[in-house]
Amino acid sequence: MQLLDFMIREELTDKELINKILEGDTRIFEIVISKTQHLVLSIVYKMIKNPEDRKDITQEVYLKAYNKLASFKFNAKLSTWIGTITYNTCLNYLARKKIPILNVTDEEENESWELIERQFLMDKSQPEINLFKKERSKIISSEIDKLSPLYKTILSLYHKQELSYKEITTITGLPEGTVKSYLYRARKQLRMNLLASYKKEDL
Amino acid sequence: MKDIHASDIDIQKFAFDQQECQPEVIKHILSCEECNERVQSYLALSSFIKDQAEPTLDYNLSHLVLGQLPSTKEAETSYPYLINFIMLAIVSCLALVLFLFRGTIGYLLSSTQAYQNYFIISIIAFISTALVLDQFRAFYQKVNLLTP
Repeated sequence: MQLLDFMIREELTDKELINKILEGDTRIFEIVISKTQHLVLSIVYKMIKNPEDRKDITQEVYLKAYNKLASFKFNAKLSTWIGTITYNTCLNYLARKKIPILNVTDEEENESWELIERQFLMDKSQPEINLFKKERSKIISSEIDKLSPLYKTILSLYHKQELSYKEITTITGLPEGTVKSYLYRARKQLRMNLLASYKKEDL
Repeated sequence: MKDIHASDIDIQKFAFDQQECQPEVIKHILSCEECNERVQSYLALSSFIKDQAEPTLDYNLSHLVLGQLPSTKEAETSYPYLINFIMLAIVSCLALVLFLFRGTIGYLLSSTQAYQNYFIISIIAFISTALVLDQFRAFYQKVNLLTP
């Protein structure tokens, strides 16, 4: 019966959900959590490294969302709005901890990237696509982890959560051109780091 | 264009935003094995990111969050309604008493002694009502605390 009740509630639109919560049924907020949890965790886990802080921030995000629910104007999807709260909460955390969201030194590696890429393009015996095979998944995960918090987040929002540029723009507050530019750089940096780590592994 | 390979941005545009790609770039990439390989590597990278496992939690997030929210207003809303109902009942009773005994009350009010009695009874009634309401409030607070 509870499951059926839950499933019926799952069919509620964002507006119906919010109205019911604002009317006082806080239990409905559980549906909001279940609907947005993947997105929230995806942002928190990409931006925050410390497991305890991740837990606190995730709770903080939902408490903020609950308290600000009356101010939600339906200009975006509820999930996007909660995504924005998540991103801003993480940004505040990083600012408090003085952790940069973007590493300036990333750009200085461009020259060595060109060299690595040239070497790979010349080496016909090892097609680059082999780099992304499943057995190398640990290396790829670890290389993703090494990226700046902002790059990791944008990559995850675009490729994992399959959000549009517009939605990423709403969440991050960055202009669309900047989001695209960061995505290009993030993908390039990840690919180059993988090529470099592949080289090291071969030695 | 044949001899010059596409830039990294063009390769990525071809892979993910092809509508933004120049026709000559598309033509080159389609005919160039090397550029095609780079496109495939970006697509493979994208599919790897997509296939990454979702973060798993060793705690129940919903329970943790809902536990910190004020309890559902269903109980809270019935509480003021009940108070209002009791208040209305008291006022109605008082009004009925005043109506039924209006003659007696008039007579009592005409003498100083009776007026003093009435004043004392009113104060007692007021304090009793306040005490009942306070008990009621305390009871509901305890019920809310015990409700999981």
